Amino acid sequence: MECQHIKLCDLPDELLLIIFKKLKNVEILYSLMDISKRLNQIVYDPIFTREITLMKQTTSVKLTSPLPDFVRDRFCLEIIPKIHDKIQWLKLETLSMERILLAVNNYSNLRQLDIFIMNTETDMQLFTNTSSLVHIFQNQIVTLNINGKEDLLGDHLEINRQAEIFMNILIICNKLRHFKFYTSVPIELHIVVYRFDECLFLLDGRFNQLRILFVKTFHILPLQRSIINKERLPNLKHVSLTCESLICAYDEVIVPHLQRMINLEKLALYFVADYDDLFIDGNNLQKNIISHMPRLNQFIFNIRSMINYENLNYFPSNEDIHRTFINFKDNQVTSCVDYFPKSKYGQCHIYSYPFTLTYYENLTNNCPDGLFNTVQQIELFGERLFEHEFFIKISQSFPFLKELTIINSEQQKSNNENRKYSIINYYHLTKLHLVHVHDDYAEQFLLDTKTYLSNYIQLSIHYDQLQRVTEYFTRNTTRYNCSKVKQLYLYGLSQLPKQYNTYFPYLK
Amino acid sequence: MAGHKIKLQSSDGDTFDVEVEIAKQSATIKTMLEDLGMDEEEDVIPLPNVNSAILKKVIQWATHHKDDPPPPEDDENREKNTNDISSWDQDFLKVDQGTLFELILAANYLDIKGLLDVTCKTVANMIKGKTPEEIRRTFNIKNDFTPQEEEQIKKENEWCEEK
Repeated sequence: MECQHIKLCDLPDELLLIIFKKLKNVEILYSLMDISKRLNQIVYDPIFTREITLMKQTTSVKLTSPLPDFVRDRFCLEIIPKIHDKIQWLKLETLSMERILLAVNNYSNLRQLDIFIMNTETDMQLFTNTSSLVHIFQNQIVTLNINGKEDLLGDHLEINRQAEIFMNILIICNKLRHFKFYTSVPIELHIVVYRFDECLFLLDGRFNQLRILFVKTFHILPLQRSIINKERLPNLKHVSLTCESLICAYDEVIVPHLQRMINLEKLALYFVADYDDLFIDGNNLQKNIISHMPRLNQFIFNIRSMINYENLNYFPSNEDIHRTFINFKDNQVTSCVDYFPKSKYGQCHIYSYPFTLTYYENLTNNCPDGLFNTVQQIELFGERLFEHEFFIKISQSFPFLKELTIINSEQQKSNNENRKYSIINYYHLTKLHLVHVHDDYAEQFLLDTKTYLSNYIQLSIHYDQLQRVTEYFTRNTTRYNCSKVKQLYLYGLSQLPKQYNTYFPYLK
Repeated sequence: MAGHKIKLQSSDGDTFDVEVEIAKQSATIKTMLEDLGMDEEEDVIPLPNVNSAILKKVIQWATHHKDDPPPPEDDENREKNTNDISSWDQDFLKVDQGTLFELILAANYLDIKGLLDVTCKTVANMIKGKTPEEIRRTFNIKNDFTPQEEEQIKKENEWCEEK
């Protein structure tokens, strides 16, 4: 039986595609590229060029090896230069990685790399910021899977080398969103997650090598008690936890996890908690945290606890709270207690010295003394009035203040146009939010007899209030500071009427 | 015990008596039987795209594989493996290239997944590891690039080598 008249190229494209799909992309490109125009059209298709494995892999990963030289040469010299802009995902081993990734100037669509580490000792240099590949790691790679020969894990040097590679990757790869590393070697990890429970896998035992953990999260929500792992985490030495929003799960989530870290030497906690009936004070920290960490020698904290009036049976004073820190090692703790009868809650702010945050929220007249060089952003809140002298103190205590929000509807007592005030200079202020304030505070910042604005600023204010304070944009004593307004966010009106633009000559 | 049979007619007019269960490995024939309600032994199913030599081979393959479990669904993520061809199939497919490609066309027309799979894997194995020149020789493919296009390819390669 002879049917010689039919050839491969007589088959329709759909059947050629079925045949070619039986092969790996590397095999198709190696054998079929540049044979004929029609075959080129097929093999240039993204299904064959989007993802390419340029190494020999078997079911046993230990036997992973480079492609034969003649295959690698054909890819580097003939194939990759033609399809480099189609490649999105490359799978490489480290002996050939540099040559392949540098075969062309630019893999414009490369987003994912799977890398098999052949030898950690010699490969470490590929993952440093002096590596010739750093531009690819830094600017392009979103997904990175690192694999290697796991049986070397018993070797301490090997673990350290792997840890260094892991760390370098986290530092170098700015755009990384998905990262899989073949061993659980990270020693130090800084992680930002939206919800705290998204990072609980780090505390379930699989990252036993972890020594230092920094977690920054936006929410800490209550968890089912049953899913909190109770296994101890004896290897953790240094932990920092920062939560950006109000939490209601201090007892339920934070305390149980911290109590597992029995050998912690350094702990930093930064959060605001809505709490039950007693403020988080020295006694609370001693009982719930410190007593479970016999090796703790440095405890940095900045904690605000807030309690609804209905739950407060006892109204401790600032001194009462401060006394609870008597037994703290260095005793350099500041506490501020405030009660807000109209808003019906109490607030206790405790922090270890020095203050390290860049923001200070809910700051009141009860502002502690001292210099807050790190703070650039303040929210002033009060149910009692803020006098001019208070703002003098703010400008002196927070010399690097950039953004100020004021929430206070209490009239100033000493606001008198005939009085001579010392003029306050805010050297770095660039954003001023005066949306929930009495007119007096708008005057406080717009009158040139009280305030000198050094920089052009962004001002948020109600239109009606701005009209009143500037006397319908005619007042001379507000003219200078208004001339420093570069951006104006008006509440109650979408845009400043054009006829008033001359009052804000630098408004964008 | 022999099963119920139907007649398959090739493009060149030959008819073959085939057990229904064997013929139903072809999804095309199975659909015809169901749609047309053909159950009489005298009914003939015409297969105008398959000649008698190829149809004979197809029936031989389907008879051998009549008790096979249904082939798995296509999965793009499955590891690609062309080395899992049974020794019977390997012997069965020791044919000239023309026959092999005719079998592929027939398997595709008759929608016999298992036969299409094994024939395509056989061709894939013929491609695997060969250089472009070897591929041209093996499959008698004409180089249809113009001399200018060839020159352009060479230039691009030289530029890469100099880099």
